[in-house]
Amino acid sequence: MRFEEVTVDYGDGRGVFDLNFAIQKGECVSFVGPSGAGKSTTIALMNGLVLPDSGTVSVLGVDTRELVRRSGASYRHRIGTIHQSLNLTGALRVIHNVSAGRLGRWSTPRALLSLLSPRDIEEVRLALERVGVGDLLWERTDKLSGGQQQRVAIARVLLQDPDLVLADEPVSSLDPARSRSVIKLLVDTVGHTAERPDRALVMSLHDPDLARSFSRRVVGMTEGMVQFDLPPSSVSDDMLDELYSLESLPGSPAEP
Amino acid sequence: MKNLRRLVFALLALTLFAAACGDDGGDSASHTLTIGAIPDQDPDLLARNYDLLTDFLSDRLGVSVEYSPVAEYDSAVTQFKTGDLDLVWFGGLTGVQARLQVPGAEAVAQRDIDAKFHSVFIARVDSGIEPFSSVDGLTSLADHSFTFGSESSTSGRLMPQSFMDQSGLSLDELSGDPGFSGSHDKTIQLVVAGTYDAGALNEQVWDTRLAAGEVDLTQVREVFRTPPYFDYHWVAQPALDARFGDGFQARLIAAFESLDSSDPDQATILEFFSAGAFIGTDNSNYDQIESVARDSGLIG
Amino acid sequence: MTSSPAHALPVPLRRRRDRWVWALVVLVAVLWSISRAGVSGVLNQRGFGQLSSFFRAAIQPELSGDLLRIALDESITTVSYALLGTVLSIGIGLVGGVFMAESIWSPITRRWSLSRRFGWRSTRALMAIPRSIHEVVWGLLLINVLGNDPWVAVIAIGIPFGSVTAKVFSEFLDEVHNDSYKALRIGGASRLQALLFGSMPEASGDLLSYGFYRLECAIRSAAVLGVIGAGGLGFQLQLSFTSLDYNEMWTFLYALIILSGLADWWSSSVRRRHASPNTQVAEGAGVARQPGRDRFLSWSAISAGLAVPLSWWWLDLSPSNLWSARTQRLFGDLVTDSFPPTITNGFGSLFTASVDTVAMAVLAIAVAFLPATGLAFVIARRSHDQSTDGSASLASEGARFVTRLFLLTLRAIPPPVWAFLTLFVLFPGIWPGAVALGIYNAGVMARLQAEVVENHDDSKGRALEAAGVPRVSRIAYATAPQLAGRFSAIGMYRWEVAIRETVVVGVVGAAGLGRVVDEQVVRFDYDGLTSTLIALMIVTIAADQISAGLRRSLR
Repeated sequence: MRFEEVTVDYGDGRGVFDLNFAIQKGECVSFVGPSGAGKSTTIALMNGLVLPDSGTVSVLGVDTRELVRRSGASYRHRIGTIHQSLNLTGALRVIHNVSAGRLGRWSTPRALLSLLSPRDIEEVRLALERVGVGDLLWERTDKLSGGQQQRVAIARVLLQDPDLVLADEPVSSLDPARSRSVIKLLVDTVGHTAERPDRALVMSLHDPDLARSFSRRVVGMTEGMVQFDLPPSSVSDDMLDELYSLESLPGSPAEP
Repeated sequence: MKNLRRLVFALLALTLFAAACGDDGGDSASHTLTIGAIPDQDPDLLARNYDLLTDFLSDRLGVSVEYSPVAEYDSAVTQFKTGDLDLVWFGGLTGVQARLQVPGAEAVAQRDIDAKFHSVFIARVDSGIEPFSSVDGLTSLADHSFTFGSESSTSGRLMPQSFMDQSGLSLDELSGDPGFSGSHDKTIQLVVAGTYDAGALNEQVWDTRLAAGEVDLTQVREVFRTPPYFDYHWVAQPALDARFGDGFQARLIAAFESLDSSDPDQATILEFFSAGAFIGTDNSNYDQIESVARDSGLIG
Repeated sequence: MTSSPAHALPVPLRRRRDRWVWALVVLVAVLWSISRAGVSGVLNQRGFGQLSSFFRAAIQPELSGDLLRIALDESITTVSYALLGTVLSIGIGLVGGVFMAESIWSPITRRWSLSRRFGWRSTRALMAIPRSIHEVVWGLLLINVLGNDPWVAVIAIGIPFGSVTAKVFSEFLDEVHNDSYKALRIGGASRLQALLFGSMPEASGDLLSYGFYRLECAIRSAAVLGVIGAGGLGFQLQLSFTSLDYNEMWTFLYALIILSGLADWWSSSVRRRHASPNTQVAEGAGVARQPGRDRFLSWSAISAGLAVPLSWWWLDLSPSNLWSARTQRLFGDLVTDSFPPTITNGFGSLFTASVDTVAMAVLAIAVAFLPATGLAFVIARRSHDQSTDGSASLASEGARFVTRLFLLTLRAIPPPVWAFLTLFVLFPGIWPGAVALGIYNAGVMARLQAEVVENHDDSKGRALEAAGVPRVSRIAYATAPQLAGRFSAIGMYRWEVAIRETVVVGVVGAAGLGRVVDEQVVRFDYDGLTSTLIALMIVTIAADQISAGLRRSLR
């Protein structure tokens, strides 16, 4: 994946400006930074939810402008996303929400049939067991706790089996202890694993400690710009303090 | 959940099965003579007591006969056009309309009274319209409000309008646009209520309601009875002979002509139609109606 | 999308100003309609005797065994039409709703292309056409193609209802938070798949509950359709109506009142339970597999489902009739007869009739609005009402029951019958049509408004009640301001419906497109009818736009 001079300007000082970086197969990258730093926009640029105003984002060798066209569906299927608000369908049972990971590979009639009489039940159960909630198969999704829903969302991506996994603030609603276990689960199951050594995992995280513990590359962002891009061992506490306090420094447009 | 899903499938299957069964009934229709009638006078009585008539015809003709009631004049014509009705008791105007839409259809029988049918003009007692005896008197309706019956009625609309024309009274000279009450009985009631000053209707309905004492004569009275004209008749689809065998139409006419008031069941049938007897007729008897209807734009 | 930063006024204030403009527009529309209908010499006092003889017959309906058997048979037919028509309309609504949904047209990213926006808008406009034509007119056209076939009534209900349902369902789909749809799309699912897994599951419960509301409307429609000969209670009513046998009419009207009452009860129970399901989750082994389901809702869905094949069998529907050689030939004939459209009595008279139709509908709602609002408060069942002492609640319970029955009667008597009855006491013109439609719509509106009253949050009202403020003041200070918007929205919605309904009250004479349609049908002047229907479509679609604008400003 490659970002070349990418800018998205929302016009109110927010956005991302002139991003240039590349992420290789098998990497595990975290984007850190304060709220409004542009982490979510960067993730959204990677799956085509946001298109660049200028510059080019290419993912899996395809420009994201192509990705969002009808013909890009087969590429979109190779990118798995865990959204900040999970975006599961509450009224559906867990099994369907997990199966939805397969939609890109299913024909529409098959998808319809699956809603009436679920397919591949064993595979779904297996995926749920890997994330530790195998017994929730037939529950209605909106009856689950936040942590359980988080796991269902991960199981969906597991079933989708993509080449690139994006996770936008996957633990924003969880307490620190739970956050740790979910991120660990994420890295262990949908990061690069023994059976999928090529798979890349990109996360945006509010908590830099999580990023340093679990990823092999940490990108610090503020005000839509990359401040550093280093392996976790090289990211010092001072650098992080500066990253999170930058917005209150004199000269910043947020605080004149 | 699973059980519910199975139930849905079972219901779908059941629906398809019901659909398949429905198809079987299809071809018996061509062996059944379907008859109908315009809803002119007491259509409720006829619609709910038709088995006397169908039994009688079935017995005489040796085919199964079904009565299919109709609620509006124009849907009787439409159903004759689509072929759902084989033989229909039409009024003068609707009969002509039906024959124009089904080339080859024939007027086969009418009542003894239909060759000399009349309409009645009624008016409110307090309207200032005095009874008169010639068509010219219709000009006295000028500047009064007036209602016809159903738009498609011969005795409640077409012929009254034609006689008003003859007298030189234009509809524009009435007070307001003429109303269309919907039926002969409704015309009487709306004039009694005073919604309209005057109206025109079928003489038979008027005479029947008068005899039954159902008209408030302190409010309304007859002011004019029109000259005679041809009205109601049975119209048959072409090719009945081809479907039911040679000479079928002739036997049909004979069956109607044989209705006899000395037999109690047959007398009841005649009573429903307010007829003494039925007689044969043919298309040419309705040429006058056709030209009147053409003049007033009711047929194109 | 909703706010334009260029405008200086803060949003809430600008909304308020919108409201005043709309209030003025409505006031002008009502005054204009009144002046068009005329005010002097409208009432015909001599006709009250006739009117009262109709209502006096209510205490002695014809109860002979034969007639009761007919009433029972025809009730089943009416219910069958209504049910199958509703099922068809839900099918159309499901498919149509998907194609009308904003989400299926909107691109994944934020920019709409011009062609997409055009595609979406024109699909919505196209889908508005079927609902601008009243069921009775659909029935008239279908009878020309299908002849005397039970499909006529089923399809005549199904098509316009389907178009309404599609619109409502597309709104349900778009209201469901869009995120799970988008998430699936971005994960490579096709539009349809994303809708199936993302939006449909959330919206389908709402659709089912809405379907029960349509069933209730369909019963009334099936009754009106009887008039054109589709069979059922309406047909028998029409036969007795032709010869003005009031006692027989009341037998069928009571049957209609009972059917409507049952349908109302079923539909409102389903919707109440749907809004707050009564799920008693059984403790124990079943929990993991079987999440709580409202027994009543399941029972309703199953029995409606079972009734479908039964209705099919009762009506003896045969799908092959829909594409038989005769149907194809007759369809060809109808198309040839109906095109090209011609204008029968000049463009001017068509325009006048269209304007009269609008005025009639405006007056109908103006007449209905206040009485309906008042009665809505009488029949609304509030949870805290039960807390008052026994004797008072018994009295209000009685008043509620009587009022409900009264309103049920208003909407169970078909508009053509109301039109004839009002003609006894009002001289022909716009007024009798407006009053007839007003009476009928008051029955419908009060029920819809009562539901709003029942569902709205009344914490302010209760606070005032606790402070000892009397009931009327409570309504004026706490309830009315909250409800005014919703009530006006209902009024606008019924105004649109009333415009369509003017075609069934042509009997009132000299006013509106209903009269024109009647005359053209009688002349078999289908070229002219096409023009009239186009005029009606334009008026209805314009009304639809105006009412959408007003409802937006009320939100």
